[in-house]
Amino acid sequence: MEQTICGEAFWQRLEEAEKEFQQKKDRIAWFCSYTPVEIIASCGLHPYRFSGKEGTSFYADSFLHSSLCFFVRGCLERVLKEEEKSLEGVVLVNSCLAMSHFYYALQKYSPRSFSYLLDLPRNDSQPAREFWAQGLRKFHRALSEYRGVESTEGALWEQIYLYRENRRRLQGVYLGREDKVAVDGHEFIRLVEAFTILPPADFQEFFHTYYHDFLHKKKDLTGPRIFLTGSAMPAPLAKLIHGLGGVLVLDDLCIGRRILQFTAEPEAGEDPYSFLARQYLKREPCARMNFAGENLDKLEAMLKKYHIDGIIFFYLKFCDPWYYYGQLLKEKIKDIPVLILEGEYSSETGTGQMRTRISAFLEMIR
Amino acid sequence: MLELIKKYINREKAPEMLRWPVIYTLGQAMVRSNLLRFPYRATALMVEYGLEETKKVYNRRLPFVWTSAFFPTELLHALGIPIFSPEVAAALAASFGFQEHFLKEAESRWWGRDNCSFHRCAIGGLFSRYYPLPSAFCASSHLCEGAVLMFSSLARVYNRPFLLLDVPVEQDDDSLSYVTGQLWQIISSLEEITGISFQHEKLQEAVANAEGTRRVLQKINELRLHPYSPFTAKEAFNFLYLNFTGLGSRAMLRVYETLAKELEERIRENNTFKKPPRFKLLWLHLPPFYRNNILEYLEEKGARVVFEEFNHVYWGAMDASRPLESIAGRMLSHFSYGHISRRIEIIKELAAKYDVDGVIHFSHWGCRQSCGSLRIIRDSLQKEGLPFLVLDGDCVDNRNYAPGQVQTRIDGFLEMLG
Ligand code: SF4
Ligand code: SF4
Repeated sequence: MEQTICGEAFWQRLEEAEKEFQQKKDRIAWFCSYTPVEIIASCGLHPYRFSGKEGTSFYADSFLHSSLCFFVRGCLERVLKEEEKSLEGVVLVNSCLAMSHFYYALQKYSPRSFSYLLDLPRNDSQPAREFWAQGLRKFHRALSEYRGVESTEGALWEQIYLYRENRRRLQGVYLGREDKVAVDGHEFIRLVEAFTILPPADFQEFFHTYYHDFLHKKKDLTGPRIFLTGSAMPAPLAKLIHGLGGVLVLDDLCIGRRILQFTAEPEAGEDPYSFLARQYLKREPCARMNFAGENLDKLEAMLKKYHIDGIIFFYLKFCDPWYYYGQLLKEKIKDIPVLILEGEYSSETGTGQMRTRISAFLEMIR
Repeated sequence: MLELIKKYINREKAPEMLRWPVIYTLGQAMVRSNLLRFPYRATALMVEYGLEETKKVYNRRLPFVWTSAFFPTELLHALGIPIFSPEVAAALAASFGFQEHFLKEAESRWWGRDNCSFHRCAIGGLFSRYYPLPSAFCASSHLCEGAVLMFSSLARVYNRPFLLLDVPVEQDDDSLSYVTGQLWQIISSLEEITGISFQHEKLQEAVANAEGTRRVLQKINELRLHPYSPFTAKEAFNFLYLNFTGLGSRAMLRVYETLAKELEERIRENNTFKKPPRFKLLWLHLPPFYRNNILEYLEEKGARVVFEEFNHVYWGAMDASRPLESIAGRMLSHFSYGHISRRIEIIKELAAKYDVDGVIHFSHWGCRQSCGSLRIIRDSLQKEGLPFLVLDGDCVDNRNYAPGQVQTRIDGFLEMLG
C-alpha cells in the first residue's frame, strides 16, 4: 500500500541533511508559522523550525502547567535538553496563551542570548497590517542590533524573494489535485518540513531532485480522498492515514499548505515590512485569527471540487483555538463526513487508538 | 431569605425561571422592601442594579450584547446598550447550584471538559436557550483567549456579529493607537447593529464615571488596609459583578461610593465583627462560586484573605477629554496581561502593601491565562520568601470538588506559616 515516488533513499538523505544542519551554530528556533523567517535570514542567521519532542510526560512539565498543550511542553523539553544548547536564540509569536507562557518559561529556565516575542494581530484590517508591519520593523531592528550587522531593506528583499521562490515551487506540487492524484499529500507535508528547516539553497537542491521524479510518476492512487486539517500534529499522522489506505489530497495545516501562501508581488513603493505584513496576514488563517471561521462557509464547496470523501480534523488536547475551530467545522460541514481526533503530540502512545479510529473512518467512507 | 430562595429554585426546572423578566421585578421589590437582607447598603444597591440590567436583557425590547470579562464596558454604557456577561452568569448559576444543568447541556453536545467551565456553562446556557441570544458578541483579546474563541464561535453558529477588540501585549504608542482605532470601529459597528446613535458627551460621561470609580475603588482598597476593616474577601468577590459589567456606569460609581462611606463609618465606629487574624493572605485568581467553605475554613483556622488580585486598581487616571485613548490605555495596562513579570511585580507589591503572610492561587481548571506560568510565579515568590499555596480546582464546575483534600492542603500550608 505504501508508495513513495522517490524511494527511501531520497528521504533518508533529506533526513541526514536536516540532522547535519541541526548541528550548526547561528540557528534561531521558531515555532509558529507566522514567524517572519525572511527577517531572521536577512541578519545572517539560520531560521529553523522547531517541533516538539513527542511524548506525554516531560521533565519540562514542572515548568509549564499541565493544562497547556503538548506541543509547547514538548518544545520546552527539547530546548531544555543538552543537545539544543547550541541554539543561538528563539523567536516566538503570541499565537495563543500557551505560546506566550512557553516564551516566559524559556526566558526564565533556558535563557538564550536572543529571545523575542512577536505581537501578531488577530485581524487582517488595514490598521492591523500597519501594526504588524511596525512590529516587523522593530523586530528587524532588534535582531540586527543583536547581531551587530546593518541589515538593510535590500538584504531583506533578497530573502523575501528567495523564500517566496521556494514557496512557489512547493505550491506548484499542490496544484491539479481536483481529480486524479499520483502522490499522497504526506510527502508534501514532509517537503514543507524540510523547507522550514534547511537553508533555502539546500532545500532547492532537494526539491529539484524530488520534482524530477515527481514529473515522471504517473500511477494514480486509489482510496478514500481525504482532507486533513487541525492544529500542530505529530509528523507521522499524515503518513499513518496513507498507510491505512487513505489518499491525502489536500491539507490545511501550518505544517503544510498554509505556510506556502506568499506568492504575490509587492505593490509599487511598498516597503518590505508592509509587504511581509500583508502576506502573512492575508494567507489562509490559523484558528487563532479572528477571521478563521469565515472560510468555513466556503470550505465545503471547495472540498467538493476536490471530490473529498472525508475530513480528518486533529487537534491537540488543551489547544483552545483549534478546539473551538473543530466545533465550528462540525457545525458547518453538512455533507462530508468529519472525523475529529483529539490527541497528544505523540506518534507512539496515540497511534494505537488513532489507528483504529482512522481505519474505521476510512472503512466507513470507502 | 436568600438561602431560602436558593433552596427553592435549586430544582430541575429552576433555570427556566431565569428567563422570566418578572423574576427580576420580584427580586427588586424584595430588595427594596428589605425582604432580602445584605451586609451593606451598597450590596443591596448593586443587586438592584444587576436585577434591573438583567431584566432589560430578558425583556428583549432593547438590543443588547454579550461582553467578555475584560471588554471595555464604557463604550456600552455610553451608548446605553444593556450588557449580558456570560461569565458572571456562570458564576451566578454556580452560586444558585444549577451550573451542572448548563455544563451537562454543553457536554452532551460534544463540548469536552478541558476548557474553562465559565465558558462551557455559557455554551450550555445558550444552546438550551436559558441564556439570551444577543444582537452582538463583544470580546477583547487580552487575558482571556477562551472568551474570544467562544464568542466568535457562537456568533458564527447563531449568525450574529462578533466584535473583537484586539489588544497587543506590548504597552507602547503603536499599541495605543491600534487599540484606539479599533474602539472607534467598534462604536460605529454597535451603532449600525443597534440603531443607537453615538454621542460624544455620553462617552465622556462614561469615562468620567470610570475615573470616579477608579478613585473610589482605590479608596476602598486603602480602607481595607485598616486592621479593623470589616470588608471580607467573600464580600469583595460579590462585588466583582460590577468590575466585569459596570465600569462607565453611574450605578457602579454610586455603589462603590456608598460602600466606601459605609466602610469608613464602620471603621470609625470600630464596629468590627472579627478579631485580627493570625495569618493574612492574598488571593490570586477567582474563588469557586458554588457552595464551598474554603474562605470560612481559613477563617476558622485563624487565616484571613485580606486582598484579592482582581480588586487591584491597575490602570492610571482616565481623562474624559480623551476618552478612547484613556480606555485603550486601561486595556493595555492590565497587570495580568503581557509578560508574566508584570503580574509577579503586582503580586509582590500587593503582598507587601497588605503585609500578607502567604499567597493562595486558586488554579481554575482550563484557565490557561492564570495557570500557564504558575511555576515562574512560585519560584519568584519563593525567592522573596513568600509562602505560596496552589489550590487546584474549578470556579464553576463542582463535580470534582473534594473539600477534604482542600482542607488538608490548607492545613499543611498554615502549619508551614507558623
Ligand atoms: S497547538 Fe494550539 S495551544 Fe498549542 S501552540 Fe498551537 S495553537 Fe497554541
Ligand atoms: S477563568 Fe480564565 S479562561 Fe475562564 S473566563 Fe476567566 S480568564 Fe477566561
